[in-house]
Amino acid sequence: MNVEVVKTESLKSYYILDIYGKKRVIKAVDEVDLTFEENQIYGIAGESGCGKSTLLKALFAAIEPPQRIVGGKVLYYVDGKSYDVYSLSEEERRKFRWNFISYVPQGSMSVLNPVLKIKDSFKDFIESHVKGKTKQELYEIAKQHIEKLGLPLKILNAYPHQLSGGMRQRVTIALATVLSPKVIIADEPTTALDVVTQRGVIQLLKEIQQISKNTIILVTHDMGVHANISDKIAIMYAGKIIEEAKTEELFDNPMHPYTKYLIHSLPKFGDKERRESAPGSPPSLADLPPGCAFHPRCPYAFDRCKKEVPVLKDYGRAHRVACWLVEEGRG
Amino acid sequence: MNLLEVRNLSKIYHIGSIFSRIKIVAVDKVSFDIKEAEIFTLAGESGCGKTTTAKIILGFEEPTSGEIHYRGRRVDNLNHKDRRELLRQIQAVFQNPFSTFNPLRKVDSYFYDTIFNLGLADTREKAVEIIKEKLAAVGIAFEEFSEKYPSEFSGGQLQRISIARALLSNPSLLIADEPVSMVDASLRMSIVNLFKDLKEKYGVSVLYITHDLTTAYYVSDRVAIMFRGNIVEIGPAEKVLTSPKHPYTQLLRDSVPEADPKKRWKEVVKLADVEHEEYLRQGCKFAGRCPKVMDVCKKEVPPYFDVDGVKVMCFLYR
Repeated sequence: MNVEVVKTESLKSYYILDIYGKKRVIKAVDEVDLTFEENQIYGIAGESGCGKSTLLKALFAAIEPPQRIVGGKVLYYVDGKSYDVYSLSEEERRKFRWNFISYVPQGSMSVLNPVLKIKDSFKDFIESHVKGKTKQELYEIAKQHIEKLGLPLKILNAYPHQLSGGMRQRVTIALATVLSPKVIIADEPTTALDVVTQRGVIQLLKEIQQISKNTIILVTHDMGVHANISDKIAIMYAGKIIEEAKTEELFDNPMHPYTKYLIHSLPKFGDKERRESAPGSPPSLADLPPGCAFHPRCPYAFDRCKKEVPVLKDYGRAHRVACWLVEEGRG
Repeated sequence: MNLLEVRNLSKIYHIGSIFSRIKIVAVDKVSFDIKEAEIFTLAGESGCGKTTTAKIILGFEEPTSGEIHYRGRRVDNLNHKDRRELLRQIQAVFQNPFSTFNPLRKVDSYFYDTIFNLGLADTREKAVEIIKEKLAAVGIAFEEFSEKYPSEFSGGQLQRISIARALLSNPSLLIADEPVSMVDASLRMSIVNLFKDLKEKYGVSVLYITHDLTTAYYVSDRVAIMFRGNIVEIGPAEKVLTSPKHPYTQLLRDSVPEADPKKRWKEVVKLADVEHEEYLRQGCKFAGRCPKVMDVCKKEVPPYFDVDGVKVMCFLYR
């Protein structure tokens, strides 16, 4: 039985800008329905500017103007009860943050306080959520956690600048998981890292997931990383989820033309066959084309694609796609 | 004859204060050749010295020792005038197209500047002709390009435009430092294919600098793997990347996440805790992490051994 932990229901999160009296609406997340289950690594893939970071902020309930929730819901399932996050007060939301759901941001340098030793960053962080512990007890929690994750203990006495980029990113992950959250959101956690370091960070995420059986929502544009770690993948394009399936199913049988380009354009060792990128460029979220947002770049687009927005629909094997080609059996 | 020959190139940086100076050998006796109409790749992780090598070839950095020859002529000690002459032949494409161009300046003004500075045309009509030809080579229409600011293009388009700018003087060698790492995944291959086409149609050689081994495999004829300033393995791309010899190349090749859910990683990797320690290591710089380390690796710097047409800097092949 799969247990839901976080769910979105036709979530809409827009940036509403007022530029010299002219209103601009950027539809960064539009009608997103996703269900995240327990004990799963859920991957979200998409290019820069497709709205994936906006979606994460909405899930983490940490939105700041000009970002707004325009419609829909984000539901958290905590101890058998469901909470509609955006109907709660800020104080109630704060309680869920880091305890129930935590966030690993992209740039690890800007997360850790440069003038504090790592152990003091841990202490401050734990102290703000767990009350009534002495300094020594807090250090002890940090020490045990670092040990559990298999990181060297000497890093606790180091300052952030003394660590390598990969180690800093792993410390950030350790910090985000110290309160044993049920859900961990990781936004491009390996993007700025070298391949060998990236492998170390991914290994750590995988281990954490296997030890604590929680949910990791992993966002990255790198399909290679998804193939390696994600159990299920959603593809995002221009603010919408256009395809969702189990990892193997998605790689074996991509249905949306965009996903096909994404997977087939990746070069592989031992195969020098010419690979083509999708034609054109991604659209601006402030000025989306009518109908399917991918239609100007899609070589198979027909009339319906230019007029109607395709809906995300299950076509069997838990494989959901939003494409008229598939709907009309032309794909 | 080789187009470019790099011989025993070294660059040493000193870091720290005057009391605790640490010597970092960013580039350590690097030698390689680039042939006519060839794509040669320098691949490695950050801090391996690949960008420093490119900067020295372009004349942005002075080498500590070593020589560079272009078409048989020594070019690492040129004066200002000769260097400018050389830049007609060697042009660069950088990582981030948005920082290549000033956001407040129209993109086409760079094209006219390059043409007039290098004396490629004397009238605006002739300049437009050259620009049209080069834009056609990268697949951009002149009409959608002129009188526009950088923000009006996507990253992929802007990178094509910066390649077109580099082509203005009909260079024989393009130095491309991580040209696709800032470009969106769905557009990346269009840039990589462009280098292939330039080589095949116009005979342009490319020094492709990257950390991405899959595009390196796809596009290059020969590849050199760098680690902490050394080229540890150099040879045909097909051999180096499908059957790597050096333990570091093997680790690097193994760590590339392949877009195939059936090929997931199994073993656990070991990472360096403090990076600069590896630069200071005696003997082989990879010895601290190498699974096949021997006593000799910790004492002596390995020379190059020829194995199956590939040069490997490792005692395993003694």
